[in-house]
Amino acid sequence: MSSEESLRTTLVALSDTKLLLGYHYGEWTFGPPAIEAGIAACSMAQEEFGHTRLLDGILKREFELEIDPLADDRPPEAMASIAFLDRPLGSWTGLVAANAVVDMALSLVLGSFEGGSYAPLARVVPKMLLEERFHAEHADGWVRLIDSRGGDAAVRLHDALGRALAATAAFFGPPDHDAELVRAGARDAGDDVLRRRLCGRIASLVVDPAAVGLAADGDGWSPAAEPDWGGWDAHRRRLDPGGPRREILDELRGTKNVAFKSA
Amino acid sequence: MGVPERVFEVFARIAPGDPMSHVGTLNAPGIELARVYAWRIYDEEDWAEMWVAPRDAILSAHPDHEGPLPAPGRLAGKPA
Repeated sequence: MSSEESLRTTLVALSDTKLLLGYHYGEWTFGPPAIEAGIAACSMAQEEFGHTRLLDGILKREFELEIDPLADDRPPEAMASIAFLDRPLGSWTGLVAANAVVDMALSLVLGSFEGGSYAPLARVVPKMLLEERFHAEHADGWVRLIDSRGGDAAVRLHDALGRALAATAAFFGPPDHDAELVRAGARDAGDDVLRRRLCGRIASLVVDPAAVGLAADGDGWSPAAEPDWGGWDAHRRRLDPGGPRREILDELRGTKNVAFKSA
Repeated sequence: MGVPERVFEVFARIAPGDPMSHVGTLNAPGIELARVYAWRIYDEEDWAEMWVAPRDAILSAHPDHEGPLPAPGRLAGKPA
């Protein structure tokens, strides 16, 4: 894959995943453990949607690729979002796992462009990461809290973190798949490095990293089981051939309200 | 899950050098989340500074009152 193609697919994956992440954050405006947590989730949803618009703007200007979330007719199997977000998160522990793993993975990828040579993205990343700082603090607070209290909630959190880590490992892709982008100077770190950073970060938040599917790897942490990269879709950055549930996409796209859309 | 929560008080200044104002109260299970919640909930101004403190860490300096800051309207040591 050329560096330009690699850049485009990375931007689409970031935009699609942020759209789905915003949906799930928004869904948890209601039903969180405390009203303060609902306000934080709603606020994070707004920021994810804002980031999606920014990324879509770059795709339109730089790649002549128009993604309008309200007019998007791609089937679920064409979306490039991280598979952990395909279904409703089910519980607060699922939301915390998406916050801690998926959101952080996106921030790590964005951060790798901050000092890079691709100006359209390097220009907007600092503001995005400033907002993301609070997403990370929210995730850290909840992971530490639930993990340290133990019991059923901690078991459920570990399960959700493990599933989120597996789906996100697929997003980071096989070794060196993005070497061209790093060589070209668009990014200052490749996805292998970022995946280790993410695993190290999650390992630092929980008492027993093995409980979330991580294994010590030299001076850091990696997924205990390396994915089989045979079925990896480089364009969608996924191993899972499916996609987000149709009803989630319908809600995001306002499918039921199509009669009220402006022409 | 039954997570115990503490009450936190939020203070802020609009501009450096302005008086510090008490802007509100929130519940959070710990200081880390209290910081996040405070910034998210009380975002009506472009604050230059925002501070958050556990209510029970704020002590009375008035000679007629003792102990930590009570809930509003319940000043410790003052006749009902």
